[in-house]
Order: sequence, then structure tokens, then C-alpha cells
Amino acid sequence: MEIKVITKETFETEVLQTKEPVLVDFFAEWCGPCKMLAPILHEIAEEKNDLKICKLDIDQDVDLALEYGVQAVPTMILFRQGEAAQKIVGLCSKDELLQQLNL
Amino acid sequence: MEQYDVIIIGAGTAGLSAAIYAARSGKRTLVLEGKSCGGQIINAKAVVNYPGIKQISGVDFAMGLYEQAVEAGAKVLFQKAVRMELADQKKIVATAKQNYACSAVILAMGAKNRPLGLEREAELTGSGVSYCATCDGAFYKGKKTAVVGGGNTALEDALVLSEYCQKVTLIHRRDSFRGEWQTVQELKERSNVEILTDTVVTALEGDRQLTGIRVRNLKQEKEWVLPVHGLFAAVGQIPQSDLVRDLVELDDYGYIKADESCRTSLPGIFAAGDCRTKEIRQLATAAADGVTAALAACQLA
Ligand SMILES: Cc1cc2nc3c(=O)[nH]c(=O)nc-3n(C[C@H](O)[C@H](O)[C@H](O)COP(=O)(O)OP(=O)(O)OC[C@H]3O[C@@H](n4cnc5c(N)ncnc54)[C@H](O)[C@@H]3O)c2cc1C
Repeated sequence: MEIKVITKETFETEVLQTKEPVLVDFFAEWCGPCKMLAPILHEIAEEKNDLKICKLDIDQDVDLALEYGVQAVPTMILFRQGEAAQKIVGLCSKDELLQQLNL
Repeated sequence: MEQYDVIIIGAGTAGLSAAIYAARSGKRTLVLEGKSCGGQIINAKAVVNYPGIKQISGVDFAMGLYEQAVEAGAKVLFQKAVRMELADQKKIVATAKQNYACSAVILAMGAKNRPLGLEREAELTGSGVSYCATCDGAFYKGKKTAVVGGGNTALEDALVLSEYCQKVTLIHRRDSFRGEWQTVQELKERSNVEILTDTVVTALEGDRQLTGIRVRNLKQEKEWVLPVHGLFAAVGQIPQSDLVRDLVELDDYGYIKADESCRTSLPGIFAAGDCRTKEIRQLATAAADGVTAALAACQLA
């Protein structure tokens, strides 16, 4: 699946109202580790059809990021049925990511 | 089994440089990476010594290489190589997920930081114990930290940390430093830097977060606890050569032995970058190895 860029306007429909699990990558343009994470997320997106991946630029939507306790980038939050179920902070390997998210 | 001409293990500077050349030579090229692409350099804030590039962040350098390799046609997969074997003329590289076959393998696994060898060190890594001041230093702003080591990395780390830490204690087991004299002088002039020579760290204190370290002066046979929140280890590196330990010749330190063309003791297997025996371990030499190894590998594939 394609990785979708979302904003606070589309967050509700793209994340909260989506039935399948959604992994949101809270990133920033200036964040190095976020760039390193991008190809890993891309590979996961290609492999996992039952997972939706979105990315949200925290500088565009600070309030939303704060609402979910995002204090560092990258932070990835897995939403299940609209609930934040799992949170990972910082760059990690693909295996670690999948393991921590139970995917 | 998926077939490739060249399989490169490790997507650091050496591996990705090799990938650019192998892919551009028209070879089916696979790069396997166990962590994130880029290797060690993603931890560097700024690179100012790569010929032709005046200044660039480590991440931008790594991403540039990655994109260049992918655009050249190399396939990069985030899978760790866990086993390698030989089958007739082919080499088989296995990951937890799949086996891949190829004619030539380039080993570009790099090196990683040497641990201090203390009890609970792994457990406290990330909770006070770190191997990269440039990466993690900012978490210790206004706090007390210590650096262990006697080379340039240790000296530079102490210097960087002294910019924003309340206090930095530099700990070295000998009485003089291997690193540059100039930097030692600079450290001595800083009021928040304390230098302990002939001293070693013997234990880590603190439950879930480091609160202090036990140190011992070797000359005076004296031991005490130093309260610190951050401990930065800069005591050298170990090559990541476990994968091929029983396949190719290694030197006494575990680096892979390879000749001028990056050929190892086993035909069809090449070694490039920090994981091989050589004098200088830098980006430029890693890139050079990558190119050399790739072109030698292409002759076989
Ligand atoms: C903080 C820091 C700053 C530095 N600054 C500079 C600088 O300014 N200029 C300079 O020239 N040099 C600098 N260096 C040195 C430079 O980074 C190294 O010389 C260079 O990274 C070596 O490249 P490499 O590709 O050989 O190895 P690495 O960069 O170590 O890459 C090896 C890669 O292989 C992967 N790998 C290992 N085993 C496996 C496996 N089994 N399966 C799959 N993947 C595997 C690793 O995850 C890693 O990504 C710096 C190093 C550090 C740590």
C-alpha cells in the first residue's frame, strides 16, 4: 500500500475511522533519523497489505502531535480501531519495528 | 531461490558504493541491511572531509548514497544476513526470511562500538550508557557525564559534551592519551572537565537508569563512586565479521583479510570498508573499497 501523507484535517477519516490497523509516522523534514526510517517503512508498506501507513509532519500539525504525546521524532503510533495502541520512539530496524508492533 | 549476480551485505558507505558500481555495470545487485541504511555515518552531525563535498550531514550523505544505489538499479532489502554457505559455483546468503543465491558476495558489514565489558552494560544502554556522544549527548544537557577512552574519539566526545553538560569526567586507563595533544590541552582548560588517568570503570550503578559509576585508580588502588547520569564509551571498535568467521581468513582482531582488490581468502568473496584489515577507516576509503570490490566482483558475475 502507498504511504499516505495526512494532516489534522484528514486524520479523523484516514486514521481514527479506519477499521484496519494504521501506523502513523510522526516526522519532521529536518529530522535525520526520520529520513533513515522512510525506506524501512516503505518496504513494510509494500509487504503488509493488512496495514495502512500514514505520515504526519509535526511542524504542520503541532497540536495533533502533542495530543498524542509526541515529543521526539520519529515517533510511530499504531492505531487500532481509532485507539493509540502502541508507540515507538526513535529509529529502529525493520525487525525491531515489526516485533514491537506485534505485526 | 532468488538469483542475483552480486550480493552485498551491509548498506553502509562501502556497501552502497559497491552497489552503485555493480548495478551500473548491469549486474543484478542485492544489498541486505540488518538495521537502517547508511551505517555508522548516520551518527555524524557533519562530515567535512569527504573529497568534493565541503560539508554535509551524515544522514544526508547516507540518503544520497542510498538513493543513488537504488536509482542505479540495486535492490536494497532490510534483512539481516544470518548465514552464508557455498554450493558448487554459487554462494548462498540466508536471512531469517529467505535464501538468496549469487556468483559473488561483497562483505561490507562495517564495525561497531566496543563495549566496556561491564555487568549490566547492555541493559543500561540507552538508559545512561551510550557509545555516541554526538548522537545522544543532547539528552544530558546540564547533567554530569563521563567519557571512557584515550583516543581521539574519547577526546572529541568529552569536548562536545563539555559544551552543555554540567560536568564531564574523562577516564583513561593509562597515564597519557593516544589522541591529539591539542585536544587534550583544550580539555584541560575547560573548568567543567575533570581528567582521571590511570583509572578504570569497574561497575555501573543505578536501577533502571544510570546514576553513577564505580571507578578505580590503578596506581593508588583506590575505588570510589562517581555520580553521573551519562557514560559514554569510546574504547574502539569491533569488526562485524561473525557471519564469515568460519569461512574466510580473519586477522587477530577479527577484521577480514583482503588484498588490494578486496579479495578475501575465498574466491568470489570480497570484503570492503571498515570490516576489513586496513590502515585507514574513513568514508573515502570505504567508498574506494566498495568500488574496487564491485568491479572485481563484476568480473566473476
Ligand atoms: C560518529 C562517527 C562519525 C564519523 N565521522 C566521519 C567523518 O567525518 N569522515 C569520515 O570519513 N569518516 C567518519 N566516520 C567513519 C565512517 O563512518 C566509517 O569509516 C564508515 O562508515 C565505514 O563504512 P562501512 O560501509 O565500511 O561500514 P558501516 O558504516 O559500519 O556500515 C556497515 C553496515 O552493515 C550492516 N550490517 C552489518 N552486519 C550485517 C549483516 N549480517 N546483515 C546485514 N547488514 C549488516 C550494518 O548495520 C551497517 O549498516 C565516523 C564514524 C562515526 C561512528
